[in-house]
Amino acid sequence: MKAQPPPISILLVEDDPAHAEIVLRNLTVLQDRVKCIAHLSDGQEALDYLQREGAHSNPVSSPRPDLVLLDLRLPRVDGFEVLRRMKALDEVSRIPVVVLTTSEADSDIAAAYESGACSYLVKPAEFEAYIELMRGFGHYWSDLNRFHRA
Amino acid sequence: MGDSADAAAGVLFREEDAGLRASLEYVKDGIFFADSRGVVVDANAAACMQLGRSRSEVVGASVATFAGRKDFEFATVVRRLESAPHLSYQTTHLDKSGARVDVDLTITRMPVQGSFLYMGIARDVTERARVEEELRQSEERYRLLVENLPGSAIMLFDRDLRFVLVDGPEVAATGFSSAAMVGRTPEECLPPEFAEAIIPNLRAVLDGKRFSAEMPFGELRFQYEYVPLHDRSGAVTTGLILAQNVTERYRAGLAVAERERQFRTLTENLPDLVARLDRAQRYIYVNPVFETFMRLPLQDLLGKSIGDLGMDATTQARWMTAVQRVLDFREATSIEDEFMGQDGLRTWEARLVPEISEAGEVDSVLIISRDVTERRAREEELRLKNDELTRFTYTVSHDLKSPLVTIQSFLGFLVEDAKRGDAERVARDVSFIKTAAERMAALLTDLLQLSRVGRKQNTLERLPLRQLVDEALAMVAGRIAAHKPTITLEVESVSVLGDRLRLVEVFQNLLDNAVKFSSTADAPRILIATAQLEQEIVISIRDNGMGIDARYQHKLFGLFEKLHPEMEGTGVGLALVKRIIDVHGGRIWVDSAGPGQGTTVSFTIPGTKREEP
Repeated sequence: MKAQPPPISILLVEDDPAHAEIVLRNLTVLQDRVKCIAHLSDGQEALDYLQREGAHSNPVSSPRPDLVLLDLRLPRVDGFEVLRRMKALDEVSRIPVVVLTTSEADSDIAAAYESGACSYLVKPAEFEAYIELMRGFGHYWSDLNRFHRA
Repeated sequence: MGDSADAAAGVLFREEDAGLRASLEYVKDGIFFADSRGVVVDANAAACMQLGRSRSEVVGASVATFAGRKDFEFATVVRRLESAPHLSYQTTHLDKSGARVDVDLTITRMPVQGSFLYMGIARDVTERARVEEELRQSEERYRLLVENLPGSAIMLFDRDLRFVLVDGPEVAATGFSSAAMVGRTPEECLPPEFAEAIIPNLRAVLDGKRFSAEMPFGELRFQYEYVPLHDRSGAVTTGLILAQNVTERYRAGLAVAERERQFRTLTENLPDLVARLDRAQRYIYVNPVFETFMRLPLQDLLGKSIGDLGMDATTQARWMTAVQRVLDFREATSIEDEFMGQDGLRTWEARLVPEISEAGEVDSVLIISRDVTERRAREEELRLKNDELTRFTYTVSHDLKSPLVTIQSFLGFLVEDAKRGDAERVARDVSFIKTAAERMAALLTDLLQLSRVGRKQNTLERLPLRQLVDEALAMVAGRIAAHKPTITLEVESVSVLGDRLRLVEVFQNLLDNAVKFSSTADAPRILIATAQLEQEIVISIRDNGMGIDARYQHKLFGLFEKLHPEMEGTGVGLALVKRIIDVHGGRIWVDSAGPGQGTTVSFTIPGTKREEP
């Protein structure tokens, strides 16, 4: 029997508490393969966490995630800006960012990829569809994808 | 003189008349004497010369020998002289070689010794006939010339102003004739007005002046060349008029002038700058708007090249290249540029058009320039509006979808949680659903409110500022009671011109925010104040609350922007306030020294003024 690989760690950046809870609850269908290590509700805080600044200066309490699940419309610093700044930061530029948003606008999709997103997911309005999306997300990132772990 | 001649002379002249006979030898005309049978009895030297014969060959010969006409009969001469003192006619004699000699011949009959002797005097007119023939030919050539001078007429007039010659195709073409004019003065044969007009010219010609003048004749137009003709003494005996019908040329000229006039009427009334450049790129025409724009008089512009009028080197090169391209490729082009005008930087759009001659060459380039500053500004405004609309649509759809996702998902969780009988989770699910539904309702209400602003302009009223503030304070009384901020009014007695309901909304939103955001301070304070800023009265609402990071201040008035997600509200409030201020033509801005330093929202509304006490 093959040894279970360690779960992938996720940083969730989502300002809407309801939406954050939906993601967290849906992640449970992925059992132990995906683990949310932090949930932050604005862009600036996410950057502080990744750069280990301000309230997140302790590396022990703010470990690097394998992947960032990022909403676009965020207070203070929006998702695009988070993406751009991440790509400019050497130590976090290799962390893949998956955009998870309600927006289906072409301009947002284009801007997200331009800013460095590696995947773009639209939050489905239907409950079952959301579950399906999370299953697919978990299968891809946990079973198929290889991360660069320093 | 031969023997027979002597004998004849002896018959004819008495002894004392010998001197007379001898003198005949010196007469230039040929003189011969014949008897009644037509036999020559005597002839002088000139007669012999004319006939190319010696006297002996002449005397004794019949006159018919010399006659040019074959049917000549001397008997006819004899018979006719029975009833006439003399005969004079032009005839031809033949000399010895057979050559013809034209002569004017006069024959008389003289009674001699009971019979008659016939004396013929023959004047050689061969030379005169030649001259006359040349004259005839010359006249013929002249006639041909005059008749064939297209659209011309020649008139000669004497010192009494009588026409002595009128000729040329244009005479008949104008309804006149030589017969009706020759021998008459202009007054006698021309329409009175026309006669009156040309008589001073005829007199001037007789005074020796040579000149030309253009004159209308009915519908026609004539170019008159007036030429004085001098006699040998230098006196002007005759005047010549060479008239040429120039109607066509004149009309073509009129047509050109008319087109030019139309062009000028058009260009001089256009609001655009119009200029024409020659092939060397020099101004050869500019319209008044151009002069005004350049603030230079016409004479300072014409002849100048594009570069002479104060363009910088880059602009000049661009223009000269564009003009050259029009000259070379005969294709119109457009160029847009910014120039500093009297009222600031203006955007100009110029159309460069080739003007092509009949020969197909580009003669000149017409430049029509229009101030498109306002148009470009409107286009920019429209573009911004479009962008805003796109953003708005996108924002609305996104923000409405967001609570929908929440509702659907938690309904899904609710079903599962209910199945499991997890009452706590069920309550939590319902709470999320309720919040999302309420948020959706609030969003829709706010959006509706926002859409009303600007769509319908209610009547403007002059409203005391104090009244607006009091109304708004009453509407946020609930929140004020909850947070108990200290509210200070430093409001002058000013009135605002605007829509009452909308302005109350402005104050209500700003005061609501101020109360909300100052609630984090230990002693919340709110200041409502007015201040004079240059020409405007600024109204401001200041709180000592959480403040705003300078980095996020630009996002403040955006739709659904929420800098503090933990605070209640849909993010429409400040967008609505800005919209209302925009519609009133005012400005709104925010100042904050940073987080924790408080916030001041300030705005102006045109027409705000101090009330007279």
